[in-house]
Amino acid sequence: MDPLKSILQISASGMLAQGERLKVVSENVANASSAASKPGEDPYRRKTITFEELLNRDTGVSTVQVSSIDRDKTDFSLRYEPSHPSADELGFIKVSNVSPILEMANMREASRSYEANMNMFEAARRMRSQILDLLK
Amino acid sequence: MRLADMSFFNLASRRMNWLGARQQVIAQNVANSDTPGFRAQDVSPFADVLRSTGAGGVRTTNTRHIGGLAGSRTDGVSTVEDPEAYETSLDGNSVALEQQTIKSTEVSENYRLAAQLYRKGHEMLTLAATGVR
Repeated sequence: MDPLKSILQISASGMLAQGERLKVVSENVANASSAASKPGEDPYRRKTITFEELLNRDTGVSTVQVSSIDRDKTDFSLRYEPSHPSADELGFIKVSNVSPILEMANMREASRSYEANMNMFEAARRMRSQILDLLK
Repeated sequence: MRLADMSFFNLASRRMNWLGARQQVIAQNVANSDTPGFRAQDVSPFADVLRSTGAGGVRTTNTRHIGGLAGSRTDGVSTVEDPEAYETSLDGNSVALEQQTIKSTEVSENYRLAAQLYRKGHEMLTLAATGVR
């Protein structure tokens, strides 16, 4: 495939992947305070997303795709809140392992990568239109 | 005499091909900027491409011929691991977005220059042939 045309496909895959990442970040942020409703149950466990390179053997173009969305296996920390419905006999509840600072950092990086992909898209589009301008 | 035989147009168009291929590799780097283990790539220098006759890759003249390696090109451009990538993150990814953005801007500008030169050459040819701009 013509390199400039394949850039449109590559950047689109990058933007899609970063969009997925942003979705996972917002799921984590929204559920950051979701604790269990019954004693013994676990609160919200943070989701993590991993990307992988997808190489198209026919065209030689490598795009990106989401390889998996897993759960963060870090242990839950405890908080003293005896009035909560899921408090154990000592009055502690398990809180979600989402760290707001980490999620904000993830969000910023996802936005930055999204913008970089968008810029590549624009650059390719501009270069193609310069070729077409030769016809004028 | 064909346009493609004139060294000026040949050079400009090969330059544009090379720049297009380079932009593709940069786009791949940017798309994979968060993929663990991905090493940033770049294309072989333009001088090397000029020196080669452009007969790289495997010719397939029959549908049963197997094509060359994935990513092999017939224009003499090959991809190498980027020697200028200065930063590798903990997960093995060596793409730095700032570096890629700077490269991409350079490529865009050079492409614009090459396209303008091509057009100028064409205008001069028209001028010489017809005497009219």
